[in-house]
Amino acid sequence: MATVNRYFQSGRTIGRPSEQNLYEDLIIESMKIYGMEVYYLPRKVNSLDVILTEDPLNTFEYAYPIEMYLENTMGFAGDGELMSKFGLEIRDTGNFIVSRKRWKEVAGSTGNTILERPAEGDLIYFPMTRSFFEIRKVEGQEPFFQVGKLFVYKMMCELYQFSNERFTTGVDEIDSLTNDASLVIGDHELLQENGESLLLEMNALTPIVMEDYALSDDGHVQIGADNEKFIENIDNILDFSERNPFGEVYQ
Amino acid sequence: MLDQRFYWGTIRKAIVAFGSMFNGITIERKDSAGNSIQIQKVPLSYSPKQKFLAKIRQQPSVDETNFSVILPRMGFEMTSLDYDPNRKISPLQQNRTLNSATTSSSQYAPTPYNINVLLYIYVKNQDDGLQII
Repeated sequence: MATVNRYFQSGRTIGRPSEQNLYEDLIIESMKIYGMEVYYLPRKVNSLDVILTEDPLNTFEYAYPIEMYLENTMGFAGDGELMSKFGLEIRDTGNFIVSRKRWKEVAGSTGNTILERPAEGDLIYFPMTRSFFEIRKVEGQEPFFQVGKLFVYKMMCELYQFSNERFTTGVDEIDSLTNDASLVIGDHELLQENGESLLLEMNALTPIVMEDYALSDDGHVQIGADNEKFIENIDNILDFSERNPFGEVYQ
Repeated sequence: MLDQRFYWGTIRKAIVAFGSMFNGITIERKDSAGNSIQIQKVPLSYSPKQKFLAKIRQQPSVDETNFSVILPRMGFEMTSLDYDPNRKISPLQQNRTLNSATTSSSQYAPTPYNINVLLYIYVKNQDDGLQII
């Protein structure tokens, strides 16, 4: 026995399919007007450690351009910049809203996503600030059943903690940014035409690594590491040579 | 006496020595078949530093922010400097070294201190952290 008014409601709650479709189209149109184009990067799990429940060898092989609406109007939220024991850390957050229908058309129907919805752990690349955001939580019921249907996903995102995951999306900007930040030695080796490493003549096991890999101000600046400085300075302090195995450098 | 300075940068040297012990750590990531896929060096930095230098060094552009942080990485800092009476020997004891056939230098026994240093490890994957440990 229906207890709601059948003249206004088609069944479960307010709204008829024609109204819902119109409403959905208006949402998509407004996002195309007021939103901005970002890239949606689904995560691929390659080698899951079932004990530790983690996969250090995640890859991102696809980047789908799609319009999203950034909910934060006055810039990103979060703690901002933080000076920790590990140098500068930036904790920006942002809420991205995407149409369910558009997401399914662009990414969900490709078969390359983990779930049939935006998944926690997937990335959003925001070209305006060249930032990578990781989805921390997907909210599916906000706004709650307007005209009887859910139209958007709201994704709570945090700036991505990069840990040398492999990006081969085919989008030059994304791939080059992540390649430059990578600390994997193989990404900075000189290669021969056949793709094999170019090795040192003196030590045939040591590959030739380009200077941009150096963990110093001259090389990998983003990381703010001092490894090279310690190497340079220690020669003036300790002398472990045969002549003076335990003492300071003999002047 | 007042013009005499007694600073030899000994603790600074100890910091460099500590850093040089941990600056060559690498971690390896393997696939499920055990094949080596990635080898990477772990960045290390001395944690106490002037904030403005760290900021302009790590983020020269304010228009773009690519990542929150790049991991894995390590940092260390000196936490305390403690006198160690257990290692103390007689203050009258001297170390001598012969400079030439006719001259020599001597030094009284030093006072022992322990420098305590904390090393921090920041990783995204437990396996990376376990390899460093």
